[in-house]
Amino acid sequence: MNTEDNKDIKDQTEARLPETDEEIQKSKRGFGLGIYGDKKRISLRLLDGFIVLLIICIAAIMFFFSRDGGYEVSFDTQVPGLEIESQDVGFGKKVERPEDPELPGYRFEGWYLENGYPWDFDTDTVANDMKLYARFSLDPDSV
Amino acid sequence: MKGLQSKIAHYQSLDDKEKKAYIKDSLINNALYILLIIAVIYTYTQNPMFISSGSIINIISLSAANLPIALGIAGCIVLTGTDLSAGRIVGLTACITGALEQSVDYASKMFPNIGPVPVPLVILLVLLVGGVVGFVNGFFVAKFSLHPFIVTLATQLIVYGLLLIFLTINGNNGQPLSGLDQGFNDFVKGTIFPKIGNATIPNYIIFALVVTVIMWVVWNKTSFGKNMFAVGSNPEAANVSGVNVMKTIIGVHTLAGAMYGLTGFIESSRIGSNSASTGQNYESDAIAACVIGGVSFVGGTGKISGIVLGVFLLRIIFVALQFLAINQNMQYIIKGCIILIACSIDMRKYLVRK
Repeated sequence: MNTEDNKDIKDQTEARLPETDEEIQKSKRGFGLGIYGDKKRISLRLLDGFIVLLIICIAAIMFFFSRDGGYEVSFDTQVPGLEIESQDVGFGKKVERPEDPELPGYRFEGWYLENGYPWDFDTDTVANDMKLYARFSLDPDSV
Repeated sequence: MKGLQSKIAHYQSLDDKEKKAYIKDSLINNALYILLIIAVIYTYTQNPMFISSGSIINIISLSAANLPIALGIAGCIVLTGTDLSAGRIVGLTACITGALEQSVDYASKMFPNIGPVPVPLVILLVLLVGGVVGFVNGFFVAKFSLHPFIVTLATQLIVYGLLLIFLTINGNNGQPLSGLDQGFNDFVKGTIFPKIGNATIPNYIIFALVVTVIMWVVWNKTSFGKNMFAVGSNPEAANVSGVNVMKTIIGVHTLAGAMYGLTGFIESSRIGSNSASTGQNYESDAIAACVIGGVSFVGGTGKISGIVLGVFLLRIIFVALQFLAINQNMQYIIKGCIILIACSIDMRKYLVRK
């Protein structure tokens, strides 16, 4: 590498880093708490365009992804071939209790959320798409 | 009214070019409010239940539950900082409350030998726990000039670890804490107000109101509040003016921690089943609400009324998304976009002022 190249690299480095105390202070804020640095290069027009674009994105998502039927509540019996039809339930509405699934040799315990919390069809309401899982226990009478 | 009149007079005194620029500025600066109006109208056309008394009370209740955390985190933002540990502190304090307030006859009670602990004692405990974590945040930020982002990111992880450990006590094995005592639930979720339609106004709205008044007094009528704004605006100048910068930063973070503790206390009853995921990402909603409400990341700017408004506006949008049955994944994208817009508008105002 020749001397001229070294000089170029040095110049570039100097162009990026603040040198004097004043420049260093200018590039910082307070006790290092600030998140906004030097604003000289920020284009107001670009920022405006960005804000408008994000607003359009949100409006588009709300328009195209809203669903008239409500949230989908699906049921997973965790038993192959034992299917239960899913329901479309509006926000804040209750889920209609499906017929209890039957599995020979087992007793149906109820419907549970993924986190293991039991679903109460009389009081719990829907706030999102969700899946309810059937829980079975060994039926002592059938043994 | 006077302010509006002076704005109209100012607008009329502008020439055509300036008027255009003024309108453009107003539209961009109020972009989130415009979005809110569009969202409310569109949601109402899709689902008229959105403007029912039950829905409005639901929005007010959800806002009240989220108000203490936003009021706490706002102080950190006024100091040009942030607090990423807020949500996890809410989770930890919610689980502590849940564990201490389980009813005696609940089968998988975490502390079977302890009955439901008196509510005032639990409130003091969660305020203390939140306050201690907040103190740690403030100490590292103030003493070593570490960036709050990093400090609170670290405490977020530490608190989450502590929460996971807490949930394994007495063979609980990480199970959600439910089966809360009826007396405790009545204190938080019960009501002293008459029913409006089928909807009840929960007591925790009163807690939120009391906390808002206290925070207003702290921010506006105490030397601590004035010092907070002074440090947020210019720490060096505040230091020269005799303000104890370190004490102020620690105080603001400790107060914020106590607010998260109170949020955890409310959430434990409101949710009813508290697990390790309780409080997750609460800080992002709170930060967004603060920025929407005019608490600037530039520091030294913010009003309690603005925060209350920000919390309400954000909650209205979130409830609207739920009424539109928008998928949860999409809701996250929208929340992220709202935070970006709020911060961009904040930056824009700062640039224009500059």
